[in-house]
Order: sequence, then structure tokens, then C-alpha cells
Amino acid sequence: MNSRKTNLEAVEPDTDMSEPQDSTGKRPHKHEIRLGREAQARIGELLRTMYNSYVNQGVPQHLEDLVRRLGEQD
Amino acid sequence: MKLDPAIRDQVLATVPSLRAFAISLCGNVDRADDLVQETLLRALAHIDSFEPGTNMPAWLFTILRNLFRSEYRKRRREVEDADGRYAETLKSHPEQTGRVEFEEFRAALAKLPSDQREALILVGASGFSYDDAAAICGCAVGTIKSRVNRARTRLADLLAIDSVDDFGPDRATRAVLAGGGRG
Repeated sequence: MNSRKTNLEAVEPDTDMSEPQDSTGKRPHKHEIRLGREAQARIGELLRTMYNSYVNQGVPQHLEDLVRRLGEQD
Repeated sequence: MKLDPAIRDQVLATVPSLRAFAISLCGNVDRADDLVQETLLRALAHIDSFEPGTNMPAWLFTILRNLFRSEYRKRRREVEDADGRYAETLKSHPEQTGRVEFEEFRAALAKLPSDQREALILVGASGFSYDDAAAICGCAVGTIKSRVNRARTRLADLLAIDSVDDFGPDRATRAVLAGGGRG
């Protein structure tokens, strides 16, 4: 999970700054506000930093014990 | 029924990310741990409904997300300022880093509607595809994309990150106006 690439940077209509068109050749809806690539990258970085700080806390012992105990029940 | 050790290990391997999702959703570590515990109890009680070889993280995240939503709705009736409590519990937890920037980010995340927050976390942090995120949230892929886009835009606004498309007309207009102001 931790090493999996996230999808915020995936190519989408709203991430393409070079042309105001998506992959189907249609223009995006006018009411959608598009973020610049740098702003998206910054938000993605902050989000992953926060999330990974939680992931890196590991698993509380009582939760690990719970899974192991329930896994042993017949 | 004794649990297949391979399945058990898949569950254990998912717990750190599952817990990170729970903390990100509810903003309170103790409550998140309760949520993870309840998720694990339900999952292991219904492990027969999990098909080996399919996506274990998505299955567990779906259970946790549904538990959170039902609890959220319940609490919403009890406590009106749910978002305020979220921000406060994030600030007060001793394991949080003290950096102002991240505190601001967490506070901004707390201000998002919960459907936007969960979509952004699933896609942007947990590493799920848009398809998986849509399945977890029980909605269309387009809905997830829209929620993620709105979440990012709102966060950029709250954090004063330059949010408008650099090549958009609004940007150009602002530049002209700014230039005119100096002259």
C-alpha cells in the first residue's frame, strides 16, 4: 500500500495545462475550476506526508493481537 | 473456522494503511483505533464473503468507510459542530508534528465535506485507483473524480496555494490589472 503510486498525478483533463482539451478532444466543462500543476503537486505532497506519518506509526499491539487471536479460533 | 494464514497476513499488512485512513477521516486517533477494531471484527466474522485473490485492502476500506459513515451520521445528529471537533482533536494529539504548515493542512482538510475528504484520501494517499475508490464509496467513477477535483480546489483556496490554471484567462487578466496598477 505504502509504495503504491497514488493517482493525483494521473493524466486527467484537469491536469493538462498545455491544451484546454481532454483525451477525447472535448473541451472541459466551463464551470470546473482547474488547478495548476504545481498547486496539485503541493497538495498531493502535503496529503501524502500527513498520511504516511500515520502509516509509519505502525499497528497498535492490541489490534495485531486481535487479528491473530481471531485467526486462531475454530 | 480457522483463518488461512495467508489471509490473516493480508489483513495484518493492510492495517497500517487502514488505520491511517481512519485517522484521516475522523481526525482522532483513539476513535480511529476503535473504528479499525470494529472493522477487523466485522471483517473476520464475515471472512467467508471475501474472495481470495481479490482486493483485500479495498474490501477492508469499504467496511471501515461504511462504519464511519453510519457513525458519522449518528454523531452528526448529536453534535452539530463535527468539523470543529475534528480540527480540535487533530491539534491536540501529541503525536502530531508541530509544523505550522501541516497543522494548516489538517485544519483545511477538516473543512472539506466528508465525501470530498474520503475521495481525496483514497485516491491521493491510500493509492487506490479511481475505479477502486468508486467501488469503496459506492458511487460512479465520475463522481469520485469530481469530488477529488473539488477537494483539491477547495484546499488550494483554503491554503492560499495558487490555484487557478496558470494559463487561464483569469490569470492573464489579473496580471494585466496588476501591471496597470503599478504604472
